[in-house]
Amino acid sequence: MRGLLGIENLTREEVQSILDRARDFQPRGRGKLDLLRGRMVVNLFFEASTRTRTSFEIAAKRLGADTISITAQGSSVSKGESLVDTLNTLAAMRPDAIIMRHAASGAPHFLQRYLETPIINAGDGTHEHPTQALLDARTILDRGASLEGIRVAIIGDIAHSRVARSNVYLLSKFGAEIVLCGPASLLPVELKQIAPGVTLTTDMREAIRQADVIMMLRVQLERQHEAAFPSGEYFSFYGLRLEHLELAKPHVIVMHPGPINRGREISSEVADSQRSVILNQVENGVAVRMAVLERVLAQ
Amino acid sequence: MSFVIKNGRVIDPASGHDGVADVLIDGSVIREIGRELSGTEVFDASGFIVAPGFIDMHVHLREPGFEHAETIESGSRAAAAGGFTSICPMPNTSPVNDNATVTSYIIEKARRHAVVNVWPIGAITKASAGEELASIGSMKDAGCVAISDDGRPVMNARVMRRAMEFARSFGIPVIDHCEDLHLSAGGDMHEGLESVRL
Repeated sequence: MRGLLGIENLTREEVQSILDRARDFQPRGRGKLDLLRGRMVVNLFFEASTRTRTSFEIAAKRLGADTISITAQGSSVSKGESLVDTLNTLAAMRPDAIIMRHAASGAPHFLQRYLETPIINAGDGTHEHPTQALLDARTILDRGASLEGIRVAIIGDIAHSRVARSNVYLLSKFGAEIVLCGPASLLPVELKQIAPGVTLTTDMREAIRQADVIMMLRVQLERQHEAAFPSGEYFSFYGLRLEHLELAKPHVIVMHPGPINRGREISSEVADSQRSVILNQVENGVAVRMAVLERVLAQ
Repeated sequence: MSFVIKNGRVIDPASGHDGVADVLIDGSVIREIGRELSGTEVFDASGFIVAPGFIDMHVHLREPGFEHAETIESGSRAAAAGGFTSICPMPNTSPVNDNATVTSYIIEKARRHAVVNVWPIGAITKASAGEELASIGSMKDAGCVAISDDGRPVMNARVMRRAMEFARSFGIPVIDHCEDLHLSAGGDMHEGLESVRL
């Protein structure tokens, strides 16, 4: 594969091989590997990011690659020719890969048509965030045997979530049962058609019932132009609290792509509970991104 | 204790019944509709229409805030006198019924003073100002059966869209007073031949 633009077009086998390889990179020692020595990756973030950018940078450095990070946030660069020019300029300096995040859905897909340099998508608008889905799958598999047949509730601002979409594509390839849940204003009904195994509900309790995995999403106020629900009601009806966990399977794990907003979509008691694997996700982020970088740069 | 309503014209749209009959009521259950029924207590309804309790989906009880005009008690008595056994008060009280606290107040007042069922309607937007959604979910949990901004219609289409979407999450209907006050301001009747003549 050239680059990694999304999960949707990967095969189940490709996903599996990245997940398998990521396990080799899960931290044991602190040692730096040599696998990508002499290679150069550029981190190009047009949108705010702490964990993803840092995680990619650490992943590249652990593999021995050199990295530079460019934050284009607030610049006047936008879609269209000027974006192509920016990327062409960077590509002319011959990096081995460009990791990019952009607020416009499809931006990296558009640019890859013009660029020889492989692009790794670190989040495009509300469309895909492939490495997040991969690290989520790695985290689920660390606690359970298989993705097949498990029930995963994804709850929150589904409409604006690239994390939800990438997870739907990935989990669906492995035969998981996926329940998307949120207020109707943040839950487009068309989503049940994007992949097999998806159902929708606006009732959080129904979503959580018998779940093996609960993924909470942040309400992305920055992607909304007005409030889609009454202020103060979100936590009452869509915030995860300890009492909800009793509805799920006893071994349920609680995930969140971060950054978490305590008291908004998740209570502190749940975020800090034994069921929470939020920090395991962050840890796996590095391992999964190492596997992705190795795979992309090996070509 | 049984109670018989005798000789009324019994109209029941659900069963298609329309004719003079007796109705036998046992406690809170209608046991039988027929002729020559007897019970411990009898009401002669000759010349009356006997029908299932009517529901008025749109009333104004004016409480809290305008008790000088109407109260939950007086409004509910008026409803009962007209054959209405359930009424849905609009939220244009003071304060506006736009949150669960006001809803609970109305329901508690009704429990103590009303003689018919009172099912409140909550506001669509805060203070029915048409801008920010009211606490729709909590009002439903507190007992509201629908939402409406009634005579202060939501004129912002986007707010209305969000309200309808959000209401769907809670299975609660939106009762819309479809009027753009910018257009209707000062108007008395439809524009047409008659209005031009006048």
